[in-house]
Amino acid sequence: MNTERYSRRALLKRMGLSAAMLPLIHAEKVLGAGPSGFPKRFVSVAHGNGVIANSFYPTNPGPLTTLGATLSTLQPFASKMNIIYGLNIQPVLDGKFQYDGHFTYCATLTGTRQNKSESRQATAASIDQTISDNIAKTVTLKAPLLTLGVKSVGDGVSTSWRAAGQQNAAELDPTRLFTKLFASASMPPAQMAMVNLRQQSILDFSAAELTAFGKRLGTDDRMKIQAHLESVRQLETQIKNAATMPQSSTANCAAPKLSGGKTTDLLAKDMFDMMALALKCDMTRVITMTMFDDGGGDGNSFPWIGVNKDYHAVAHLGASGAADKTKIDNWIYSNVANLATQLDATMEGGTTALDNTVIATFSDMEDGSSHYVGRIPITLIGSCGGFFKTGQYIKYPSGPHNKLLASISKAMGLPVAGVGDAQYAGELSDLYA
Amino acid sequence: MRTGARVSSVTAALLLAVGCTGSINEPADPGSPGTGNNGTGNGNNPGGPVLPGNPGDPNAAGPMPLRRMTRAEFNNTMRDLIGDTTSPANTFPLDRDPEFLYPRAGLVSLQDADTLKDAALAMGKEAEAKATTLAPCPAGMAEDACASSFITSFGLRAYRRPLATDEVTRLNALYTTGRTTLGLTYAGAIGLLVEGMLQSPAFLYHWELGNNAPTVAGKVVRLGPYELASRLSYFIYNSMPDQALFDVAATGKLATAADIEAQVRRMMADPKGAATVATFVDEWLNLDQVIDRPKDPTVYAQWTDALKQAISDESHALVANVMKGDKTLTSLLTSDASTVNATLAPIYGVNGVRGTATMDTTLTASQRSGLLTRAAFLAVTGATDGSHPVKRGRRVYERFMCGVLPPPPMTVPPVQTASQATGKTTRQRFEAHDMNPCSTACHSIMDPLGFFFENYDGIGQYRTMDNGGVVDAHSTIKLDGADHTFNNAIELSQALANSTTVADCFATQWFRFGFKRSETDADQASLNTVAGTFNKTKSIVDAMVGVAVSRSFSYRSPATGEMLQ
Repeated sequence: MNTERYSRRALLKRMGLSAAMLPLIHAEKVLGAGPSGFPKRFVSVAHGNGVIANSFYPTNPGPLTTLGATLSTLQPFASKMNIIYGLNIQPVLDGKFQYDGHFTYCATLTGTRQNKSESRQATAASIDQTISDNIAKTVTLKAPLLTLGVKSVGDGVSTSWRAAGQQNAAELDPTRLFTKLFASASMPPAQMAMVNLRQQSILDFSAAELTAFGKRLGTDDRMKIQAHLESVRQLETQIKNAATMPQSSTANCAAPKLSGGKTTDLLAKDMFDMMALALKCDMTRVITMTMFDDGGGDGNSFPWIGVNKDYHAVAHLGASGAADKTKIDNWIYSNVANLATQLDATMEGGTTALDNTVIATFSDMEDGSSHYVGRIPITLIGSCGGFFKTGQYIKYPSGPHNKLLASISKAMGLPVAGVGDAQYAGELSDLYA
Repeated sequence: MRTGARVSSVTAALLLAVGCTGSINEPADPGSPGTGNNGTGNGNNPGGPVLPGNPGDPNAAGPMPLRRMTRAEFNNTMRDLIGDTTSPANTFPLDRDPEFLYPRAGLVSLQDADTLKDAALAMGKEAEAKATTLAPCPAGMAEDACASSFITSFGLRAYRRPLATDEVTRLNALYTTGRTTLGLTYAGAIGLLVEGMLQSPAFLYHWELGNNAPTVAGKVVRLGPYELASRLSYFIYNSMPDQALFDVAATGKLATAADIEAQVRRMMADPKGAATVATFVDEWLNLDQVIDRPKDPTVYAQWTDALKQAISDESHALVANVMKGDKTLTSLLTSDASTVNATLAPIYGVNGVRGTATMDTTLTASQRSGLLTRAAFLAVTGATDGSHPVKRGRRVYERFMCGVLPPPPMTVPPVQTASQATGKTTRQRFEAHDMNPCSTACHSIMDPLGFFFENYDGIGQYRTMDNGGVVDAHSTIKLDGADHTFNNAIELSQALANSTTVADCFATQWFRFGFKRSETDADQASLNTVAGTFNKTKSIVDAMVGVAVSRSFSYRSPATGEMLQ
């Protein structure tokens, strides 16, 4: 396994050598690396209940200038982002379940959904999974993919899918995530080695038991055991890799101070801080954040911004709830802005970590009073190492968002003919720089 | 979708209501026969409606899909297996299955595997600390021999069946790794064994057959005594079998319906059995959500964690009270006995409760009846700032009458907020919304049921005035095929207690809870057993007995691709 984490050019730059002095090397071909030699990253953020269109979209397509009320906290990044209108969750729309907005998280990053009313089952892996699997072929990371969430009150469905019918459950506890990413840092190597040896012994045992178990089981049941075994193997690999990885010692990677709070605003703050850190110090390159699970989000209210009604109830109010819904959405995107700010403050060569990243935001529907699964609100923040043009409000007449997923996949070093069903193949090359 | 013969009186209204659930457009109730329930491998229902009372093949039995332990099952099993009190499974991903009402564990994702690993490690450490009692090794006996003995005896309890030879071999090998490679002490290696067993599928999945060939009986498979003991235990105790169950499994005394019934009645005298009824009620009506339910502090300043806990406790106390008495659904729906503390007392208008103690009391009969008029149900189904007739009506329709509401294809204009409609009561605001042509049909089922609850605000306080107007809780609904008019939720509760539709639905809910899956065509005779046993007495224990003695509990249909020989 290639454990080269940065390209040679980047390392030389760090050592103060001019890029012009570099011999011709193939460093740029290091998988997933941007032109600066620093790694490219992909973050997706999903939230439910759509948006209020006139607070989210600019009036006219073209260069982004002043952002609306929903996205006001992202104003400093107007030139580094795009707002996209007009793309649909096409398989759900084509299945004639056009008002199934509460049930599309399974399609957000897979571009697929079982063709059934209110289904929450994806029929393929999501791009966060395929992109991170591809990176893991050549780069060893502490966590190739982080699947995270802030609070689960609904159906427990996330946007991350390992395969058809197999969703990646999200980590909801920032403190646990902190321990996962930093626990080993403080442990003496000999002790760490023994801990790892024990974990390997146990997981080997577990894997052997799973392999021997239920040989007579029916087909569906064997699949459950197979999925379990796969997860145990994945865990083993991560533990093995973590043991051989050098501890990152740059200033960027100091453990953050978490609030440790249990209210939704503090959970979100801690999670997004952890996300920024994990990306900056290359513990991961792909993060999927599902703000709340799908299904409406009743049981969430927002007292810290003065919105005390249920999330779902507010979204349903239509025009009369627009002010409150905009406040909620503004808060959701302020977390994205927090992440963008931290990444943009991290210099990587002549660019910033944000420039080497693409944060894609999605909702599960157009707006909360219609539940329509077309025209879902999307933003892209960061150019993914110069891959995407930025600073635009782009209005498509219509089209499957699958093509955007394919473009993100390509930007992250995994070119694909399409994402999801073949009829939705293709990419959005007009977005490319 | 399908609607059943027994609910045909509402079929026409349902068809009109297609897609118009309006402002409570949440997922349709999972697990209902009409919703195409149950995803991959969890037992589909390909045939017609399965409703209590339809004729069924007495020799048929439904499927038993492989099912992983839920968080609650894991925690309870740790309590009973090693005396743990830390509830280690609380870190696991939630057991939310969007296609089923009752908790069901999903496929093991990386996050599941990671949290399982951590819980197993913590429990292993706990076992290590308790090694002298869990795995005593008398002086003069070789530690390896003690470990072998532990593997056999503890293994039987952890896997709920005797271990196979190859399992014993692999566990002995793990012990040896612990003592040699990892340099562990005897106690440490015992902990390692426990850690390993807890990550074994034999522990984590409900499949107490191991790799043995199943006993085929005609077109179905008969469960073995250990399989049956475990199934019974996780149904009645929500945990592993106790010693008495292991004993009857070992001695063949769990063979007949009478044997099974005797065990259920014995187990229901145990606090673990009574606790399961409270768990059922929590899950059936989502009352456990009261702990996480936000309310608008500008309307309900008293909505604190302490109050939420007191409301949840009172709901459990009501169930416990019923189970100490005549154990009937009727009492659950009509009892006015309550247990309140000083935090909860003002919600019910009870005086004289001081300090931190709870007090048993009788609530005002004209204001409160059973479960549906208590704060837990009313707060969970209320809005953040008031009542919510649609939500309350829908909950009763789906959970008590097993009615099926289809998802909405249309946009429905929202209900006005209270501030937009000064001087209008909640009911008037919702009625105005219903004059919309779509809504007229849509809400004709939910709203009339919900209006009965208008005497209770968003946190369950009794009221006669609402937003400046006089509360009108009088309403007319269809029940058991006829129109009925009642004055309030107290009269409704009494009617629900006497309804055949509700009795059948209650039996169906127990079936789903007991089997952790929806009913299938092959379960028709079993569902009839549950309903029949329950209907004789309306006793909740009899509903549970009905589940346990039903054909599908002791037999199962073979799975597709299963190796039967």
